[in-house]
Amino acid sequence: MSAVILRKSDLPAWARRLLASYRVVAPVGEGEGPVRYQPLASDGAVVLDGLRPLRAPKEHFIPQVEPLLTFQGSGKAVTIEPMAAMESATVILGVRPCDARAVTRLDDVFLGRKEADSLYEARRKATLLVGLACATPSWGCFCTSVGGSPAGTEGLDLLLTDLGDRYHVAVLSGAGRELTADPVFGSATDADAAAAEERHAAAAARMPALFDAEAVAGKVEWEAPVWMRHARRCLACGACSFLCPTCHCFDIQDEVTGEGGVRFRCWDTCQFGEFTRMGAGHNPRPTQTERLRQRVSHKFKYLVEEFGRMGCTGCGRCVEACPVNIDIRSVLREIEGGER
Amino acid sequence: MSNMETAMRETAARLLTEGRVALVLGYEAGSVPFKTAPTFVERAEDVGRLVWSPFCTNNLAVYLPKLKGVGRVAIVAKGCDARSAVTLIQEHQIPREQVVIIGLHCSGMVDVDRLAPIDGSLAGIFISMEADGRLTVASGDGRRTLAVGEVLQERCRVCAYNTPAIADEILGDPASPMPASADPFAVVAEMERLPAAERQAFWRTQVERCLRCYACREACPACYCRTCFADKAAPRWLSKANTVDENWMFHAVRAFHLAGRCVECGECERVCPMDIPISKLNRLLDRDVRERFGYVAGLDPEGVPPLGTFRPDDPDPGGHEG
Repeated sequence: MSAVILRKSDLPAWARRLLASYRVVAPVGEGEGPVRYQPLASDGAVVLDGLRPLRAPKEHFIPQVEPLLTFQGSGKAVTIEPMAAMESATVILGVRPCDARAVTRLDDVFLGRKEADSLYEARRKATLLVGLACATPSWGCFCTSVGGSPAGTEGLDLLLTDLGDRYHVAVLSGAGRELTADPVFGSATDADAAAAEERHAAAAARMPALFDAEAVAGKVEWEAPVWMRHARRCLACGACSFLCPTCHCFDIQDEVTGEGGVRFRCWDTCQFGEFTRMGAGHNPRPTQTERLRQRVSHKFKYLVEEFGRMGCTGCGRCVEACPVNIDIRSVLREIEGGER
Repeated sequence: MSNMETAMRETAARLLTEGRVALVLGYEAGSVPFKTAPTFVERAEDVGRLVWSPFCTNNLAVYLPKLKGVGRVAIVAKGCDARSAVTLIQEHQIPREQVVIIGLHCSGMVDVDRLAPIDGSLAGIFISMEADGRLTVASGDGRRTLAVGEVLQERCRVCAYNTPAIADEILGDPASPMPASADPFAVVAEMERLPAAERQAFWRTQVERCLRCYACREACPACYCRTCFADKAAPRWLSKANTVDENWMFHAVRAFHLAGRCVECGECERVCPMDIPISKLNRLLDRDVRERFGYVAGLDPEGVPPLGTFRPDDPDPGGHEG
């Protein structure tokens, strides 16, 4: 693995030059609202300080609403126009290691089965990920408990580490190397590498592992009091799932206007009562107990069984967003400890 | 352990032991020092789980309609929570005799974001309550001791009902009124100073980021509709596509539905993962209902909410006058 150096003062110039060849998505602040990953304008400022953004860049791989096809006509004279899978080359800047790792979990689901999801595939192949090592964990963070690290490189093309006045830039792929073929990058010294290592270790030291997620997978049970114990206070909102960088379930809707319309998919969540309610009214997951079991089991058991790795990267957003303090770390610790 | 906490546990134990209630709704310690979690205590020997602190922010009244069938329920209630209970009683969602209100004099709840040390992270912080009621917050940056009043949630800063309006038992010393005097409708006046186009632009920017996770609705004790208009599939009033227009429709309709019913507990805004200032809308309708109907929500179980009644002599019956 090679590395280069980017002075912080050169970051805006580099981002602007990237804009000549790529669509650039980066954490940007908008007024008083939270920092979000959004397409960067030529005069936009990238926000790389602070805690991880409230929302993961997931929406740039699976948009919350995505048209699949349009239809027009009536009776038997209906024409159907599928949406073309076309994506412009994109660079996402400032991706946290947990969120980059989460994209590889989305790959499992959308690319790792018999049929690849063509819309996802086109977008994914056109996108490069420039990571930013986490210096400060947020209070819900637990990446080190699920096999990750605040300086993890999985899924990334480059990893930036903040060294004060400059970034140490680890080059992790051929595509990443091309991104650094720019005069703003200088060579990294051994001292820079050592400083980056030091930052990584300091961040990791702030977040000791809380449980052994590998052990949890084998202990997830269907009938266990742990589900009800936590789900009883669940309000059935979708904050956990919608902020989760790996939750990917969607609904499909047809909306008709006059003689035409659009079929789109949109985020959905197993936490909503409607999610499994059938046309005739029966609901196989009648209460939040079954719904919480589904969310935890999906991430820590079903995906492990299907792809050999879990569907959680410990970003902690669900922990922080839950209105009633259902803390998945507590749920997992209880499962690990056999508290059932 | 505070006196209030001791009194609360004793009351809960007594109610359960005497068989007066089947369950006590309260708060237990959360997974981190600055959170508590709603809890359901069914046995007197479990009352030790109950806690009381300036982190008991949830409005527990949201659970009352869901607990129908359990039997009589006791609820630990701050002033705002008690007002929500009143609203539910008025609207026949819970019979008065099926709920025992353990009212607590409240001195306000902490805005957790205001506790964050310089690096913005609450990871690993410790919080302890001093005997004088102040909080000591310890983090990597050192220790700070501060008064709860310095870090109150906005809704508490303007609260005028920190003593429960109704309660079967009331615990603690009458709370000193909030640093209060802050005008609860200042935010409304501030918005109204903007030209309509700017107000619209403001709200479009705010709701653009709405995820439609419905945390606002689910945390709201007044949002108990069995099927929310937003979830209706036939007819589908609201598209599941979260465009700005559809999001605005959701928030506007929800605000109208809460007119004269919202008790400004502020839970909708607190739980919003996208920091949308939802209560600005509720405040506007609250002010209008107060001004036009002389009515304040959630104070009198016998009271009739103005939008929940019809008077034949209404000066404007069912339409525009004249």
